Amino acid sequence: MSMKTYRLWRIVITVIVASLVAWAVTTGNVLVPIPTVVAGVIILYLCKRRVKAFTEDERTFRIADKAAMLTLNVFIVMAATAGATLLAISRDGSPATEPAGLTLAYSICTLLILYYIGYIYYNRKLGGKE
Amino acid sequence: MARIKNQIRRLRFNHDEMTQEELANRAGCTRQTIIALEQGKYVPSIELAFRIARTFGVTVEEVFQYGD
Repeated sequence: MSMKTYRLWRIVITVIVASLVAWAVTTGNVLVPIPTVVAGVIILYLCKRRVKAFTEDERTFRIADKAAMLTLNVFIVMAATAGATLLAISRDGSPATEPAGLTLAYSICTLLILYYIGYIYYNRKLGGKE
Repeated sequence: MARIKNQIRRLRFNHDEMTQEELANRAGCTRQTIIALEQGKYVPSIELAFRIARTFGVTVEEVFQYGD
């Protein structure tokens, strides 16, 4: 399979999976999303294995690193702002927003803990241990 | 722009106009990485630099130069 064909399949499969998941969520069908996503991942993996050219290398990994770091930073700032706002609103007589605010706050804490665990692990693995 | 310059385009030309795809396959990277290298937008790891040099049958210094 050529890289062009693989890219085309990737778009088609992504659109199909996204459509099915969106349909399942809107209709309240809880059984469809998980098998759909799993099937999509497996099909994409099988397609990727058939590609003769290299589909990923050190540059793509570096791009993924930077994109992940950017996503983490942006999400933390946005979630912290939204969480603090929701908690402040809940104190002013709208208690319904408190669970959402707390969920965002705990999400940030979990994300930061996972980040530091990952950082310590890779720092040791890549020889940063003194 | 990177301070490391390279001669990949010239070396490809000297090797029977080797295509970017062929070089990528032989060096073990994607064609987009070769494009980025030729445009000076990406600096490779030492390992990839050695693999590219080996593909052309030259030393790393003949492919990559550190300039001001």
